[in-house]
Amino acid sequence: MKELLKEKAKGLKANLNKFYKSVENFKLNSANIGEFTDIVAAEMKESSFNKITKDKAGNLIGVIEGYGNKDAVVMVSHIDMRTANQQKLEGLDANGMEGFKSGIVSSVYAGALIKRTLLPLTGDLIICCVPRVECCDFGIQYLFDDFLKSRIKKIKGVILCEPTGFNINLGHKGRMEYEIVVKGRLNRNFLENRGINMLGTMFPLINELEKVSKELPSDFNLGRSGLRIKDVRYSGYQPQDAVSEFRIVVDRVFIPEESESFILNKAKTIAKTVYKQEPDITINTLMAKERVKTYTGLESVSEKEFKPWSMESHQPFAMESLNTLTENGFKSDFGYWKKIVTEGSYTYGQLKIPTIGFGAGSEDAVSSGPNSLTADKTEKAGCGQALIVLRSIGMPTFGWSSDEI
Amino acid sequence: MIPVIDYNLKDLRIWTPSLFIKNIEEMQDDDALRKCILSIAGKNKVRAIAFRILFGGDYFNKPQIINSNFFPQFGKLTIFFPFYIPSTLDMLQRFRGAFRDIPLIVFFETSFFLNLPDEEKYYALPFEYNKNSKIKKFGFHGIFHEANAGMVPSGSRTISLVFDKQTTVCAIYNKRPLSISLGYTPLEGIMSGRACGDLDPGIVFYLMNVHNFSIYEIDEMLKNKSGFKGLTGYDIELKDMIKMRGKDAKIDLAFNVYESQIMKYIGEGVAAMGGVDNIIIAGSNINIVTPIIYTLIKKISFLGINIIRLPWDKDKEISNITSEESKIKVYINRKSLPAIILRESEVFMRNKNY
Repeated sequence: MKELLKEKAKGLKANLNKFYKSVENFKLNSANIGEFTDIVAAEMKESSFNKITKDKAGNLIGVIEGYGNKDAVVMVSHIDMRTANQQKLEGLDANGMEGFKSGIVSSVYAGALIKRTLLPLTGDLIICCVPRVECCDFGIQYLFDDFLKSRIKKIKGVILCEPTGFNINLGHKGRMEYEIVVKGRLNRNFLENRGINMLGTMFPLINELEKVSKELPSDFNLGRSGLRIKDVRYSGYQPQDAVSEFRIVVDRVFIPEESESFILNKAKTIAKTVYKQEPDITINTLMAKERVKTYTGLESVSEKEFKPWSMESHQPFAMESLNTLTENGFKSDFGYWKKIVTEGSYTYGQLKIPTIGFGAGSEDAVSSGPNSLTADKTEKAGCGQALIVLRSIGMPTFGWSSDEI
Repeated sequence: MIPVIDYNLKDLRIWTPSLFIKNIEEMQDDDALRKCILSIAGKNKVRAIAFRILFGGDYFNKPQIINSNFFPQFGKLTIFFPFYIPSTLDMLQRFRGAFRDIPLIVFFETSFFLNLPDEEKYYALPFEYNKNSKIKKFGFHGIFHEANAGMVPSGSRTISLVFDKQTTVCAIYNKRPLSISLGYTPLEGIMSGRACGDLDPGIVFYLMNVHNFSIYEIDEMLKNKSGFKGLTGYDIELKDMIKMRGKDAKIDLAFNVYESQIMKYIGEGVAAMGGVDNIIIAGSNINIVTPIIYTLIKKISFLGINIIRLPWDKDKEISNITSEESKIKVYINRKSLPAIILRESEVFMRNKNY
């Protein structure tokens, strides 16, 4: 199989390099993301994908149709972007978060390779580029709620085309943003024994959160949870104000053993303990939300959260994927992302669809420039992804595939 | 003229009596394809194009003219040979696009064996698998074997041997096949350069169990890491290996196994026909395996064969390698596969009034 892919890949090399260059040189921001997805769509068309479409959330979807239309494999890559303002501030040539581009190129290349070999699939291969809108998984949710809704049960597996160093990654920690809101009235001696300076009133809680951050639980595969105070805000700091309030915004990294409600309750308990001597205050914790507006104009409010996920390595889709890679010369093993979050939060964390990650480069590549990965490594990743797809939904080729006829 | 196209997954070969070209696969459009064929033909008019197709499954029991009905039917064979059928379909469609004005004739390597008797065709598996999954012997080298069958009068009992990348033995009675060594896939039958040939299925399960092979690994082992390569450990061509015979114990063993398997199928064929009148040997490897052919025929000379000594005449297309008093005649048919297809194409065209 590897030999056949190698043979067919020769004719694709020039196309891949051209596509890689055009994607690499594109200075992407929130204003021109439509043009960027058009370039990717054009490459899908050039590679004879059977169907290419964009949904209302701006997800670009390319489909290679199989014979049986039974199972499907979904390949997901993401599109990061700076806002046009950020780009203006940082300069046009700043790389920003452009390391994701390798994942897009490799997934389209994998599809092109499968098309070119004419090896038949028993199910559909669905290749999706999902724009990351702020810090939430709105795009992937929309994809599965809309385009993939009717076929969720037939999806055999999801391949996340993110950097894994050619390993099969099976999960990562979750990430959520929440707020601790403390309300009271200054003119009724709100927090008087801590001074009426609002900053001063916050310090004990900030201090306590810092302490807690050093004692967070750990997972054998995923590593330790983390807590970082991202922002503090306050209002009503004059005695005549009706309500005084401060908010501490916490960026929390967490493992599957910690649920969101557990984290919110624990934060509330910490705050209550800190301010237990203050009789007239209310303490609340809530998940941070943000208004999402996609480049296609779709608006929504979404919680700022990526769920943690960790799939068992003996899951058949994971096992078969690793086997096919090692049988074809990859030095792969199972692994986990330590720093980044992926769409697996939704596909496995929420929907429990078997999900793996496979791609070139280390996870640091995501936040570095586009030049951190070469076209050769991207090509190798595409070949690996094609092999995984063929093992999963390729038509079995026993016996007659012999070289001896 | 009628160019003959032989396509496998690795390359596409065009053959005319005066020219042989490999690898025109990268030709992108119909126009380029047309120009290429016409330039090969030169001043000669291209009357038809003939194709050698490796697999015709259950549907194609004789050569076909490509028309719009052909493609959907051919596409249905994908499940049997997914590596080959879709890309061949694509290639044929390109030719059809480029040459709408001339007949395109396809010859299948398996058509001849659709006439196998049931007792040879079916495996002793639960019948629903034979029926629903169409598990049965498809055979191979049908074009060569059928040509060999055409060399002898009706009512003759013939053992036909083809030495190509694969070696196949076919028993032919009254121009119909009675047995064939290759089975449902090319793994059954006589070992080849890298494929195992006949095997006790229990060995597969043993290897999978003890060495923890996946089905894909075992498939790869049986089809690409066994045969001569597996037994000797040398990944060299047969012509080089045969030169080392008598100098290396592993090579000697491999050739002994190979000859023994061929003998087994000759014996099966003779038994199926209740005797034998002719043995006809064909295939592209005849010159390489001449010493093996000599040894094999010598071993079965008790049947009433009186073989003449080596060297044999290499210039004649068809040569008798037995003496006049030999009861069973043995012939070497040196016609190439494209030459056979070319001749059959002429017959086909004449019969269809093209």
